[in-house]
Amino acid sequence: MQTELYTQVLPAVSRPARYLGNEYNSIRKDWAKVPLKMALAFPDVYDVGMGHLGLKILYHIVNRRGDALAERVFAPWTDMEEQLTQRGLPLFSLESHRPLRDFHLIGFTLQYELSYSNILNMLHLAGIPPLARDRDEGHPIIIAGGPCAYNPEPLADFIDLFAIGDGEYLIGELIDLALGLLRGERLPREEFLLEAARRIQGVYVPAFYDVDYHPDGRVARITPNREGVPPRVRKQVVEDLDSAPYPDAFVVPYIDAIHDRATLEVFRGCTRGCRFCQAGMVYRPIREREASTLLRQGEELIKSTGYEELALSSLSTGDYTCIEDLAADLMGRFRDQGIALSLPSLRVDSFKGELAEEIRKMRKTSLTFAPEAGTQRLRNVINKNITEEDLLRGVEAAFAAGWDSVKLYFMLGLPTETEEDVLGIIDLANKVLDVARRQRQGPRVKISISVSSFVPKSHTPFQWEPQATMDLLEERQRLLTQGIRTRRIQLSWHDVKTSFLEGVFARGDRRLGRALARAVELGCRFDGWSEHFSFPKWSQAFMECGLDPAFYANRRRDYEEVLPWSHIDAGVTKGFLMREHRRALKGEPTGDCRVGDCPGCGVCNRLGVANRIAGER
Amino acid sequence: MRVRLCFTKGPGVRFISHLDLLRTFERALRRAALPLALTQGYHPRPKLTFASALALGATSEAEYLDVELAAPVPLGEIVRRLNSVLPADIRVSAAGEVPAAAPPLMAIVDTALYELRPLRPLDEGQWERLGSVLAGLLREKSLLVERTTKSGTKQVNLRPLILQAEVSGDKIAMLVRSGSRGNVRPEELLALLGQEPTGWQVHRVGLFIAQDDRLRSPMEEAGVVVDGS
Repeated sequence: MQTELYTQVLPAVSRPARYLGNEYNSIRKDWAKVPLKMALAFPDVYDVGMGHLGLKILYHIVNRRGDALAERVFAPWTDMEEQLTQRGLPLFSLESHRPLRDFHLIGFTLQYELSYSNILNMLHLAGIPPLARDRDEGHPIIIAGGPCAYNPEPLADFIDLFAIGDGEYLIGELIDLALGLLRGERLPREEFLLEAARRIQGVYVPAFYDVDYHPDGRVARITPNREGVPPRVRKQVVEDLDSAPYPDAFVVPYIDAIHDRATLEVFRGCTRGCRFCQAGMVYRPIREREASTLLRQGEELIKSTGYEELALSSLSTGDYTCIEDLAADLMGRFRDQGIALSLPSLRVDSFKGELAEEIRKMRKTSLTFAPEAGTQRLRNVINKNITEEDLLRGVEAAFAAGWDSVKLYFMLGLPTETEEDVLGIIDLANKVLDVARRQRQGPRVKISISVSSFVPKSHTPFQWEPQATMDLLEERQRLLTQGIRTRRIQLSWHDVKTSFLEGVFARGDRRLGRALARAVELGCRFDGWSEHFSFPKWSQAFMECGLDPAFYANRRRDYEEVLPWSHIDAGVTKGFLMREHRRALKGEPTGDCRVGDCPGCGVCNRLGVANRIAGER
Repeated sequence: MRVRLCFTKGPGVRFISHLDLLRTFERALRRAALPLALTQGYHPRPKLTFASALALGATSEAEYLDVELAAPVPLGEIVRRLNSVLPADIRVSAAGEVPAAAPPLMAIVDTALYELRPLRPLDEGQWERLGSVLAGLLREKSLLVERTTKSGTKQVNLRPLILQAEVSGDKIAMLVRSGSRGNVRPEELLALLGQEPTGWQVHRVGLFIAQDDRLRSPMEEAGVVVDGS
């Protein structure tokens, strides 16, 4: 296979370096000496998947063990798929170029609903039956984890085991269990799945649960069909990130991949409580790393990778307790080497003049703020507690510090949104432009507005809300386009059909599996890529399976309905989500528990964990 | 201190592009903890210049690059440190110091020697036929090929740019002009020979500076040379 790959296949595909697998810091182990083999699969192309931090963490954790190995695999780009199919070659791992079916475990990461078709397609290309029930002892166990696993149901037909929650220790528990059960090269499938479901917190095996439906299609009940399997699967939480494993080296891609840089995860979780944000709900509590840990990890990574950029990553990096000291320390440490510090996901109210100047000393292209909604009323509804004054002050500081452009993120189709809220976006953008012009003269001042469509997600206060219809979203997009009268403000938006499909799968049930399988048969893949996305094919798939996608996306649920993900316990209680939903409709904000009262989300009490703030130990 | 490096690009990295290679060296130089001279401005970068881009898919045993250091480092130390942090299929084989005022590599390198080997072995008869087709081509005064660039299509006469070309044993060896003043791509010669370029492995044996009927190595410009092997 190796020879054919190098002489025939790679010369025929675009960006062949995607498939080499010999990048600096990649790890190739001797298959004869390592009993357990795991493939870490990212259901999108290499250039996108290599930017994913979770993959790097798991790669490090598995490969530092002597008894297991992890190799990477990404969705082959369409030209590579063509080569594999034409030549009858199976999908292979990058490091050893072995067929995926030779691995014991294959772990997919679920970052985005629109990557689901790629999962099925990858299994198909690997010669592994996509349907879990068609697989036997000779096939790998298919595992999936990541944010979308909080509503695992649309993938229930295809995935053997879902890992819910933080993966740092969960992956080791799965490997230990597999090693104990391994008979030669064979891993007893049923025994492994049953033991995992019984013994390991965060493990959900969909085949061990039966779902009954009402005649109208709503879920009636979800019940375990095996003894000893928990009726509700509770997520796994890593309490202390300072002692949790973190890679001391990243694989350094040859080609230009996204987020191709050293990354430090300064904290996990967020307690701001934005009501639309699934990550903010499911990754609770907030767990900060100590600045000393981050400095050490930053030094290790820069030394081992040679990267020219170090990024501080989290859901809201500006909220990190010692952000200014940390940023100053890191910049002081690396400035002479020409290494830039980048601070993504800065929140407007944590952005202060001194910090802006510090960042400005290093390179930085554009700065992002996310007010999310155009009026204070709607920002109160979604609990995005930023005022117009906060935003304008942040923007003023940024332009004063030398930035020429800022990017503003908004959402359309939020619950209770009216035309006035949409026009408020334009109003706000104009005010931002005025402030910018007062600080910076010249032609380069630019405001970019990126408008996405709100997709209600599971485990959030808006999980009961209907998603705005495609017609309404398009109407609101038109309203925005017509209202912008200067070329200094540039508008971009998301395709509403893509958001609709995302909405269907975000809150779908098991029956969607048939439509997904059919869509893949019809040729759907890379649905997140506009050049590949085919809405007509998806519509055909839903129709042929007798499913109405609007039932999942655009329907209001009542509090009593059994939601398809109600057997998945993300920590926050249903009572809390209901309270937050009601407060949202009344436009009442809820404070951040780090600084104010406990809003009673239930995570700390129920999971026996607590917020961990750097410097407080 | 301006350092000239000679390096190999092996089969494992033959599918990485010139831009990828540049990035790979920038990062390797940082991993090697060498005192890099950086450009000014918001995007400080190491100062690297290559002699010539190698086509995607080709291997080479002698590529060249110049890098500026902010402080002197013994040449042997540079080679040793770089080779310990470079991907396995890239090896620095020699290093030398060049005067700061020396002309840039790409301005002086003008000749390349290639070896082309078929991916599927040819029999004796096929080699013979190929040899006579090649000899026929070399008797021509003009070998016109079309090149498509961003600004359109233009015709180039390759004949004066081919210095030597012959079938020898199991390969075709070609010594051609390479660089800004005239360039022959191996796949262009293969196409003229009626061969499918993807059916051949291209290997660059060396890059040279033509001077008074002699081919000089870019390392000859460098005063002190340390062999990395």
